[in-house]
Amino acid sequence: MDIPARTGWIERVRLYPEIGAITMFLVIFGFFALLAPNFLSVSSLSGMLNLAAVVGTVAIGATVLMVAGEFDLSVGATMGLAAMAYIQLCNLGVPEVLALTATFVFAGGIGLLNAAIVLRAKVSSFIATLGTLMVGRSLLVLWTGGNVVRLDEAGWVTALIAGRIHDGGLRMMALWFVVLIVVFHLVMTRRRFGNAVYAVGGNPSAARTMGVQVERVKVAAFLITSWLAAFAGVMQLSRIGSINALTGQGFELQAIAAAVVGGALLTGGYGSVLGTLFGALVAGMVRNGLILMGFDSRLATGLIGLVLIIAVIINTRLRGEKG
Amino acid sequence: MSFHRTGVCLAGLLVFLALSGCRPAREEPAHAGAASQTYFVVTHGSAGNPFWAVVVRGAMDAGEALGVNVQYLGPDRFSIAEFVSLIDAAIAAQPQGIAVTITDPTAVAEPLQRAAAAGIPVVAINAADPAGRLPYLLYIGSDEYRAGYAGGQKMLEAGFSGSAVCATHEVGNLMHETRCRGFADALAEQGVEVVVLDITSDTVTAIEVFRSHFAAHPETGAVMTLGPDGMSSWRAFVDESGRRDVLHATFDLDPVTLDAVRDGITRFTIDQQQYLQGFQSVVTLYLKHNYELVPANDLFTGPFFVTPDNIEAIAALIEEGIR
Repeated sequence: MDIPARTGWIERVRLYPEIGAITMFLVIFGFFALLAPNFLSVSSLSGMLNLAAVVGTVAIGATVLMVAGEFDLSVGATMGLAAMAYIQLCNLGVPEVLALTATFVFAGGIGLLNAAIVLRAKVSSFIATLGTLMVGRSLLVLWTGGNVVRLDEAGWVTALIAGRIHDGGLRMMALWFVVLIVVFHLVMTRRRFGNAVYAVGGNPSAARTMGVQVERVKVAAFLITSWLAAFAGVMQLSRIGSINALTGQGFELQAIAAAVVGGALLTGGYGSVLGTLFGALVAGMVRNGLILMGFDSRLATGLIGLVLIIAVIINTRLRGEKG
Repeated sequence: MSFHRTGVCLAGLLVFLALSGCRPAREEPAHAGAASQTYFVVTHGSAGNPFWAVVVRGAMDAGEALGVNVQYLGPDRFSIAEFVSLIDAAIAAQPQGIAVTITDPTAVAEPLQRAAAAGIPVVAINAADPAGRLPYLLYIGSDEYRAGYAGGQKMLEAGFSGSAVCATHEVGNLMHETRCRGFADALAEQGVEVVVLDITSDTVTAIEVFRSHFAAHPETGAVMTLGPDGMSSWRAFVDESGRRDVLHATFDLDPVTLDAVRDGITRFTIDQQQYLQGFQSVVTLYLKHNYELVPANDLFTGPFFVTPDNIEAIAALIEEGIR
């Protein structure tokens, strides 16, 4: 993005949707760093990254899709279904890499189904994916029989996805999350595909006249979202070693919350993968920080809700400065 | 074209549903006209939850044995409002009997009065009315306060130093709060403080919450989790942190809990034999409807302590999803 030569700092700031999330992150980080004992320990900081990794991976997809002007509420079910597919294949003795590939093919199917319902049957993505969420969750209940389903043997792929990096508690999942953030940040800001996603979500008819294949871009965004959700599901499984029928429940809204704190607009065309990183970090930070300070842990969810609202107010104010 | 594809998807879904365990075949009914009898089991728990899946299995098995129809209703997410509307739906169907969890005595009072007025027999399962004023025949379940209290006593017997944690994955659930209260009361008698820890229903978040809590309170000597969700996360936390010195006990049985008791990570688990709650409630309602037989007392299905001494005897039944 070109920055005009003579602009005030407010104009410059506005070009970065993630500025609200970064501000929020720094304020909360500073608060806990000063007041919460052990907050700056390696263990605590690793914990925050681990916490952000699963929901953050889902949230990257949510961000890309929201920028493209669509939602995917089915990601929570996709997480569970993908993890279940991976377990079943591994437990049958299928080599891990094949099982993982098949899991992604399966998750891609869910993404394509969502895209087909939205783009062909013209159902709004909010409703379409609410439907596939419910169908997916119900299939997972039947598939697992409601029981805890275990991965018989953790292999090198699960170690690669969520294994221990060092004794402080940092897991591979945190590393994968950071890698995915960097990759998608570059794709969204430096690649033609990223430009197309912003164009499609911002003004589809203008994008179409500029020669952007609107439908193709949206299908790709749905696919990316499902794949990232599937990866998050396998990530969670790799950490815990088992899933149940409710695995991934509620992640759809947590992911959207992280994307929104990160600066994404529900109306599309605006958002930032980098902002989502901070959006995902904030929730885990609040939860950990409160416990370290010795507060009742039951306050955390409410406080995260407040942070969500404040972050959005900051984001709106920043955008509202536009003349 | 587009609807053709949608049709194919729907057809695939139906085939999947048909293959995934709907068993229409029934044996000869034990009582004339039994096949036309319907009994409802309505709880606050999703059939997707490993615990409730066992209740559902018990109820369905009883239905099959008696040759009657059994319907299970439970909200996907913990929601009192949705749960109450499911009770309404059950009453509207005018069944021969309803089994209900008294999750919130105030919220279920009005629907239960209506069921009584309509002449539909009701049994309470899993959670009873503490005041004993609601119009149900009898209570079939565990006494949650006594279970928590007995669990606390058993942990004191086993011996530990420092404070203790009651880790809840469903904040606001009366049953969980009651267990924690019983647990805390037992420990308070020996001057041991109990912290209630909100570990959330997400398993990865729970691990990090445990990590934060132990960073802030390393002297914590005992942890009580309240079901399979908390158990899986505790297991992962212990495997990652090596804190096998912490005395741990939990509620309910599932394959992960079974392994943890065998491996010595978990000292004991408190089983409420919930299969009985499903099975006996249908049998009790059946006997009431067909023969006017009503037991004179409540039926306590727990607490039943599962320890390394008796776990092998019931291990196979856990895998079958009956314990």
